[in-house]
Amino acid sequence: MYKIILLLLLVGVFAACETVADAGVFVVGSDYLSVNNKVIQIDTLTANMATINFDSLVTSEQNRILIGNYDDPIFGRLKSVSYFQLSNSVGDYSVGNTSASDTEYLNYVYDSIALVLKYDDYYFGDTTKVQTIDVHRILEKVKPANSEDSRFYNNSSLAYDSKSLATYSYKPRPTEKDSIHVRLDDAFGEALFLRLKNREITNFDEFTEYLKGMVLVPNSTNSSNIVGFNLSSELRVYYSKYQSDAEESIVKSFTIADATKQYNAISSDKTGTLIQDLPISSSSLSSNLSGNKGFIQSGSGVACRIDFPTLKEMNYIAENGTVVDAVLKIKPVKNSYSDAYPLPDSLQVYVADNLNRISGTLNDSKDIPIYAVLSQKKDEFNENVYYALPLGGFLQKELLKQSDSRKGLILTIPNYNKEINRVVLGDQNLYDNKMELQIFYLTY
Amino acid sequence: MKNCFFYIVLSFCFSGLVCGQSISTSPYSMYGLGSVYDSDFGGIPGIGSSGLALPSSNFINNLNPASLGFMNQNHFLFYVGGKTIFTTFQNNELKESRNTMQFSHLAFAFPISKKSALSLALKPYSSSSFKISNLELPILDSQNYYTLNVLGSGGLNDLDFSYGYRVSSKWAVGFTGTFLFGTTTENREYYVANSVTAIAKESYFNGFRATVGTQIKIDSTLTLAATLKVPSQIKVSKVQSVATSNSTGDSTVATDEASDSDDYFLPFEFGVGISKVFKQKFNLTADYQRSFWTATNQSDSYGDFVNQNHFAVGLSYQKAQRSWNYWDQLRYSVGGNYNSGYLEINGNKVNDAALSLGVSFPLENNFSAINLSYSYGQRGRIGDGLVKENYHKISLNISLDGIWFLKRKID
Repeated sequence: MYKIILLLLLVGVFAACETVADAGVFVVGSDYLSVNNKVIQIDTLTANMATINFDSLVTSEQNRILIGNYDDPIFGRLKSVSYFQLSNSVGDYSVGNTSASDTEYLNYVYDSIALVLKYDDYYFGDTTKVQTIDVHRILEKVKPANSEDSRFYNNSSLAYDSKSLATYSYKPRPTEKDSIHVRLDDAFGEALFLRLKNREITNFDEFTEYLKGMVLVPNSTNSSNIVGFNLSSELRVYYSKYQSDAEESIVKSFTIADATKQYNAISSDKTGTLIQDLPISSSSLSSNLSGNKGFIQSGSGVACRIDFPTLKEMNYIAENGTVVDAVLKIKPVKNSYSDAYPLPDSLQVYVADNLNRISGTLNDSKDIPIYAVLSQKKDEFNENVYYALPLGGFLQKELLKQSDSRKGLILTIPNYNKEINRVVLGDQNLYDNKMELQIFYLTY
Repeated sequence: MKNCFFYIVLSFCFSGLVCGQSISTSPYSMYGLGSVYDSDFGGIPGIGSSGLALPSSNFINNLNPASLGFMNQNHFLFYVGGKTIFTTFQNNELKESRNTMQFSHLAFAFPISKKSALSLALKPYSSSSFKISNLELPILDSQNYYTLNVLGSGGLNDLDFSYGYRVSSKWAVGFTGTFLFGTTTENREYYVANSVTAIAKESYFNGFRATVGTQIKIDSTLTLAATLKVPSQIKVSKVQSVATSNSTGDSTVATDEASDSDDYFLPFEFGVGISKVFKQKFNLTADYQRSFWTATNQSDSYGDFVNQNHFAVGLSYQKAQRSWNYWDQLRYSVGGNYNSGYLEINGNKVNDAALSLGVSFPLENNFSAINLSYSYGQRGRIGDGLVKENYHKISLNISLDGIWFLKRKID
């Protein structure tokens, strides 16, 4: 009897007890918890900055005619010359009605020829200043010098006629106006018109044989801005048809139908600047030799490289440890930017070997590119203007890597191949606007 | 005998299940092997866990293997027990209660000759069950902090083989071989800057420990006893996985990577005890044990260890072993113990003191009994970075005598 009562009691006691959820607020000896796994902040790892110069930047197929030149107080003079091939977008090289009789043809009369350049809203520099451009005929076929490579580079050049078809001065109004209308030499226009009218030119090959392409060259007398035009810009031949008493105006248009046959030759004259002695593209100029600054200029191929030469020494902190988070704060140099030279919102980051050969963009674990993002456009003391680049994954991988080869980061401006923006960044030793590297390391 | 083996097999299968479920949380259990259980058999919890000098004449005394030398013939003892613990944790700011329930032991003992007996016992040895939420800790070399969450679980089991031999009518010696084995897991989450790192660690423990003991009957009422536990090494192997997640994505740093781990050492311990019977009704027991933890020179990754003193005293009363009145057969007990603690945290020892009451209900006319005991104790203290644990423990142990079994089977 007692046995049964007691057994029931046993069951009852055990069943009545439920474990209350542990809120985890009681900890004894939190120092002890820090012993096995240490969390360390490292602010002193060396990050070297350097400036490099890509000698050839692909500028074809960028869908932008970039034309102008400007004098940059830091980077020197930058000049963009734009080359392109023209064609009729539907392959129609006839003038008037193709079925018209010869007598009717006599009624078509040349009026004028013009290049209509359509703004694509991109500009850089001071657009209140006059810019002068010259239009020339290209004398060789628009094709890359190297037959293995179908692309043109910022340093590619094609021979063109020294005689200018037009010299045009204008104050760019990229956001207010649609286009500029550059009237070309009538002798050139009439000659082209007659060939079309006389059916000496009836197809693309004959057309490009006669007019291989055009080049827009900024005149060096003015140097203030660089403006972008889009590829729907046209060469227009204006002519009229006279029949009885009526006069009818007609336009024949040629556009840049093939974006691979349009490129911008962007060159810079860095004489007198801190980066006038940039070495060949596989080498770099340490920021120690350029005023503790690193430079980026899109278009001209100037880029900033960052290396972590002593990273592997972190492996001596503990037998097992890893970078859990890291951020590189790269600060634009005070007074290097202004309303006229605004800071780009972000910087593109590439991973490269020690010869500046790029293996790809810096990506996160889902293969999405990581950018260095600007914290704010400006503040009163320029203290909090910086590009924040999260580097946790990159440094973690570099640390775990067995081989001795080191990867560096190359910073450029997005749209590097079709824009002119530039940035000046401070290295770790610059008095103001120091680059800061913050690493969080965990031993396990 | 056939039946006994059947029960042994069945019970061990059952106990494996129960062991896995036992849980006991304590903030102190993240140290060393975790919080060590006291899983004493029979009426021992009621007498303050004292009783090195008690013979195993009518119950299994797990404190001293020499007691088996005095085991009665023709008995097969089977023990099973469990515990319910109500704990209140308290520090300067907070108070929190938790209830846990656990299996505490499963044991058999049987004589193998007129002068000797064997016992086999399985019990939880320690539990490493704790939780830490949103603990802010300083990042080294900076003014910043990180946040840590930890969840610990698992523990060690103890499998004892004991043998006792009666050298003469007054003197017995015994030996216990203890296998300690188990797994603990610890999951830590580090929130550092804009990252989260998860470290999942599994530690596997196994080791062997030997205990020798002796009991001497000075006269029919007085028994003296001593035990020695030899220092031993618990082998530890550890695998861990590390994964990080930050604004540059997720990555796995290590997967089930074996990592170096320091073995754990149990110290040399000795204990002395005395048992004295008065007026055939009262039995006084008193023990002293000392554990030389300092000499183990453990890695600080297990905490700081100091030598431990352990005092236990108990008194039991039974009006008559045989009586027509059932109530006269009940054994009442009272006891207390104090343990200076082997763990030193922030320079403070974590001591433990408890008082206990117990009652044994005999079942039928043999050594079968149900032992119910209650103890109240305190561990640690408020302040100095420690937590005070107030615990109420109810132990319920069932002792079954083999004769009782046989009767049931014949039914």
